[in-house]
Amino acid sequence: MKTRNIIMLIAGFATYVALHFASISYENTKSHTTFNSEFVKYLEKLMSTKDPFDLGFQLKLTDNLNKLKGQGVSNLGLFESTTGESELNLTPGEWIAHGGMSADEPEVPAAVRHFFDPKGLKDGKKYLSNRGTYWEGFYPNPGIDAIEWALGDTPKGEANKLSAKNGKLYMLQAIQEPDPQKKRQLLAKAWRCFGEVLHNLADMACPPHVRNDSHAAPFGLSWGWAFGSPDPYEELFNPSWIKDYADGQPDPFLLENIQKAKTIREVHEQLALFTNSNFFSGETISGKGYSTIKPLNGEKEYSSPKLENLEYVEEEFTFYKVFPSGRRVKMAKDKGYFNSIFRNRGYPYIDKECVESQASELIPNFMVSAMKDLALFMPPIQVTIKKIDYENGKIAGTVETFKTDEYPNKVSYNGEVIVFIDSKTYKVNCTDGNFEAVSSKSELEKAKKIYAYIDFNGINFYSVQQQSSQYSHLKQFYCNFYASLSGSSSNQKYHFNFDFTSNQIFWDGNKFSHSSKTSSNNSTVEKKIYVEMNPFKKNYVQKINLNEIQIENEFENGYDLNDTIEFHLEISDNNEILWYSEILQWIRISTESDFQKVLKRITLAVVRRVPIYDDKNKVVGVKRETEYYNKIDYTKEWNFLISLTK
Amino acid sequence: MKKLLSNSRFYVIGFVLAFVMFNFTMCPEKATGPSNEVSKGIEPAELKAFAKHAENAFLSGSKDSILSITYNEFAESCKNYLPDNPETLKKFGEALAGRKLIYGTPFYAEYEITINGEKYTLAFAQSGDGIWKIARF
Repeated sequence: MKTRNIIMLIAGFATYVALHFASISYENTKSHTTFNSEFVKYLEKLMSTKDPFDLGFQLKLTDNLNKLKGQGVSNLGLFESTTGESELNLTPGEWIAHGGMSADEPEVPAAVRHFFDPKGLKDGKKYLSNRGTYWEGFYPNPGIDAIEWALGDTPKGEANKLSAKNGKLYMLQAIQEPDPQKKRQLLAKAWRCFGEVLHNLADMACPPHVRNDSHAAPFGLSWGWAFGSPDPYEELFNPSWIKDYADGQPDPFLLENIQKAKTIREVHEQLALFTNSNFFSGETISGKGYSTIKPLNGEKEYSSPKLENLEYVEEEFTFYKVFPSGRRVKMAKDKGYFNSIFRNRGYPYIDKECVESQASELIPNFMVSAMKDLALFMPPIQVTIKKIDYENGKIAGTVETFKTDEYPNKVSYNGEVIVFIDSKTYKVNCTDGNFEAVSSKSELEKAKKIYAYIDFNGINFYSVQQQSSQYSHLKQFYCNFYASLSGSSSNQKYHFNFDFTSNQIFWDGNKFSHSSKTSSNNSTVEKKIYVEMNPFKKNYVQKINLNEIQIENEFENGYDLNDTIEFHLEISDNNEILWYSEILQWIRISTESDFQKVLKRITLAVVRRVPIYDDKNKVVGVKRETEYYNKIDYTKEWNFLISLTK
Repeated sequence: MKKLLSNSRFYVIGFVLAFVMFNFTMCPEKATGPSNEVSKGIEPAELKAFAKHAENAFLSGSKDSILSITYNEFAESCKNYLPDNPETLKKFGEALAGRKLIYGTPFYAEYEITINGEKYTLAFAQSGDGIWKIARF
């Protein structure tokens, strides 16, 4: 082989090796994508133990069925003109990881707007102002801080097309978009935006980004020196630690604040403040060490942390801090050969051991903050089964968002809804937030569970599961009616009492029927009852049919003078008005308007056999008189006394 | 042109060879069995060259030479305690010859040296412009 060929072979080999390794530490192509992808894994692992019906959703961020086509960065570059995008087909999880990388593209503008000083130490400025006299000569300071850029919630931040604000907008558009392909495209954009938001969050857990400590410029920038020296935390950070420390205990005080947060901004600011107050960056160490230590980056000193407030272990030349999480973190070391006069203590520095120790504290706090970010970024979609209409075999429901601080406007869903009746699925269309599935009465009555969900290409949103209720434990059923006859000559009151106890009730799923007949010398009473409870709304009544025939035995002179009173009542409730109290064991109809809503039919037929007497007052015949009442006089006092009219 | 194409083929072969080596001949992340191997990152040729340059600067015994290849921020601080005594600087330079890489990235590298049985660390860095300097010692 010719020497020239060997040189080319080595050059090709070396090119790959250079590319392979130019992707290590806290920069975009490795650390941020790892932060984001490890977060997705962490989240899915955590959520896999949760019941989606309790949460109302199930994450499917890494499901290959949820590939979403969208524009992504395919050509990394220093400036916009040298950065390229093309269509990518990624899962939501991959889009989130991609956003972690793309947030740093193009790299030069990103290098100056990824800083947020929560304390605004330099004249109240929260954006990068450190070494401004150097780099501002080459590149104009955009004067924008990292959070406003990432969230897009200020006029300056609006310039970011992939901000949280735009990500949420894409989410809302995806909810309303009926076309599945367009919906997926919008979701690709939304998840990429979220990935960029998480990039910012990871920066808020990186000390130099929250302590106004300018550090190395992107690779290959000829005037990179203007940004100053690289930061040890950022450079020595090993992405594999993210997985190692993700499950660690977060700071309890930060966690409390994160849990209270109602906006993504609050989460990012809280994490930035935590990092700023508790960690040094390479050039912002200050306090009393072997001597008075001033920040190397020439800026003012932060009030915390301070070397003198840390535990110093002489044998190790190490400053420690015990965090509320219980971790004892290596904050800095000061062992230096040229300082033998000070017992080998030199200017404090952060080495790889310190970086790993600090990462073990910062990574768990990033994870819990990222979880909150997702909870706030996820659209608050609610799938609700509004009505199960047994009679007509229909299930109706809604899919819409509810208001939160991040999503202040309600929107309605358009797209497919899947309704489950036991294991049978019905795919129905949801239009402007409303859907209806048509099944059958028998199927709905037999069903053990009914629920609905939407596949939002990465998150499935679930309705509450309508479980078939058990009624076999209800051993007593008591119905008590008093009816007076309005306009009747007798003004008589009738009492209809349906009182069944355990040995008389045999439930068949959600219904039972019973009949009884009691006879005495004076009368015969026959009662029939049919009760149907709502199978999915525990203890709500679906239907009650009551029938009672009272026959008063009376004979005179061989003539049958029996009076017959027949009472019939039909109640049907689709509005969840009638509720059976297990404690009181009764159904109370509180108001006459409620009764009006559920009443289907009421009749009271009084058949009197009136004797016909001769002049000797002897019964010589019988005359039938029938009175028929089927209306209720609601003008009369309502106190469990039904006033019936003809 | 024909020659160039022929040579390019070897360039591509070299690239593919490295790709195969790095992706198909290394243990997977979840390899079975214990592994105590600690990743040391990379030590690019430019970094190696600079480390030698730094070693020579110390061996020269010239404080100014050392400060001239040190980041300004750190130089401002260390110039006060960096001794003028060339012997002390040379001793550091000799130790630097036996440096061990702890971790290296395209921007930053941490090394360990041993002087009189005592271990010390130092760091070199570059700011994206490819110019390596001493970040701390």
